[in-house]
Amino acid sequence: MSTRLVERAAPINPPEVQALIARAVRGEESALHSLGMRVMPRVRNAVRYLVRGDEIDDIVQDVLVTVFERLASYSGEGRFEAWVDGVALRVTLGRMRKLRALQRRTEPLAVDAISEPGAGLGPRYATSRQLVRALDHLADHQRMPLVMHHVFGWTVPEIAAELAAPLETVRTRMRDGMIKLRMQLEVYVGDDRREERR
Amino acid sequence: MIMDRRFEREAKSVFVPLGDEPGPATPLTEAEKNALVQAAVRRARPRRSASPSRPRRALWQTAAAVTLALTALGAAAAAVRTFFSPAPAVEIAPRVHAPEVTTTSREPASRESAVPEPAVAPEATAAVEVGGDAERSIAPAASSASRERVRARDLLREANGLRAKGYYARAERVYASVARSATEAGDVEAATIAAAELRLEQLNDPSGALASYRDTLARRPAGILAEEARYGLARCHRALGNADAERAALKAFLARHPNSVLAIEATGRLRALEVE
Repeated sequence: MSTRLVERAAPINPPEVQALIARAVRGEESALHSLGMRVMPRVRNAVRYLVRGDEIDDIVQDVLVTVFERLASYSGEGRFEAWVDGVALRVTLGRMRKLRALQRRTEPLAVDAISEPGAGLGPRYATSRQLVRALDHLADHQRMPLVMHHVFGWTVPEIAAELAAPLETVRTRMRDGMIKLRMQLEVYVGDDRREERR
Repeated sequence: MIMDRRFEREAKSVFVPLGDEPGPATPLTEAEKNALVQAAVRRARPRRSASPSRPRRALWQTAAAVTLALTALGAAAAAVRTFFSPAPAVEIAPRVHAPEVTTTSREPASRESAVPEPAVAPEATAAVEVGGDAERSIAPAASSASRERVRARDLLREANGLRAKGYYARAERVYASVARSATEAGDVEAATIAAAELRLEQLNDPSGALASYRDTLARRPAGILAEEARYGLARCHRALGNADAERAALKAFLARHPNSVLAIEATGRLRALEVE
């Protein structure tokens, strides 16, 4: 996998993470567990950016299993979290390809019916939830490159290579996706204002 | 280009960077987090501790695939039940009077692959309008097909349960019976692959597994589980000690599925074979 923007700019791992990785590679289950607990919130956030619907935690578990199994292949050159992000993205894309193949012969995924239990979790939570609600309205071929670029830090050529699509096609999808995303976010802002006036 | 820069600036203000803080995923309790991580550690354990001389592949991928197939089957069965409901008027009314419910809850990506509405509505309407004749002519065949699918789904669930409890031989027999009797190609494929996995991983029957993987690829070379089947061929050849066939199977797998999650593992194994 090629170097990602986030990796290039990232500092090295904290010593405790490095020690945990070393113990986990030796097969210590307590270290695997600690590493899993450490990266899991980030993995869940990453997967939620990519996927609508209610099977996030199935995919998250697949990501963690893949991380544990591939740990020995982590070179230590970039931040561990960035490496995990890459695994999360690959596993999620693989899973979605299969899911799309299944949906072609059955029915589509329902858009995540979001109930918002997030009171007290801060403005970042509210903003990111509103963003994924808007992303849920995008077609996958627009959502994927937008998230890969703006959340995971991949360059457009890297995305084009990963998705096996021409560069210009990816750019067009990102532009169209961004227009639709902005429209959707404006709808939410309008809703909020109407709500405030009441 | 100017437009791209504008979008780039706009996106920076919209997207929230990836982090450990809550959002966009809804937060879990500590107990839920613990359970999820423990399950992942358990699933990773057999694969990590596998002997390098014999190919061991955790069953979770097959289980996930079979679960996906079951989910799809469940959805298909539900669609069929809706389609051939004995009281279609109840089903039709909301569609006719409130189509916006469908379009707002299922946006473009969904709409592309949605169960085609026009095919459903006219037939169902006709059944109502002709006073039940059309309905009677459709219903028996449809409910029979529906029953077959539900039965296949139940059997797959039963087999999954047996496998989870460690009754591998019994699970394999149930999977094999679904593979023989199911009417949906997807169910046949899922059951055949699941049986093959058990033969290879648990029942020390790589030859039987090899035959099943080959059978799957012969029936559906571009099926949803073709990736598993192609990788399964390589694993069977490895178990049988046939290095040349394994090498060829790995090359074929990588050529066909370069972006697979298993590609790293396949490449590593191929390198090891080149060194040997």
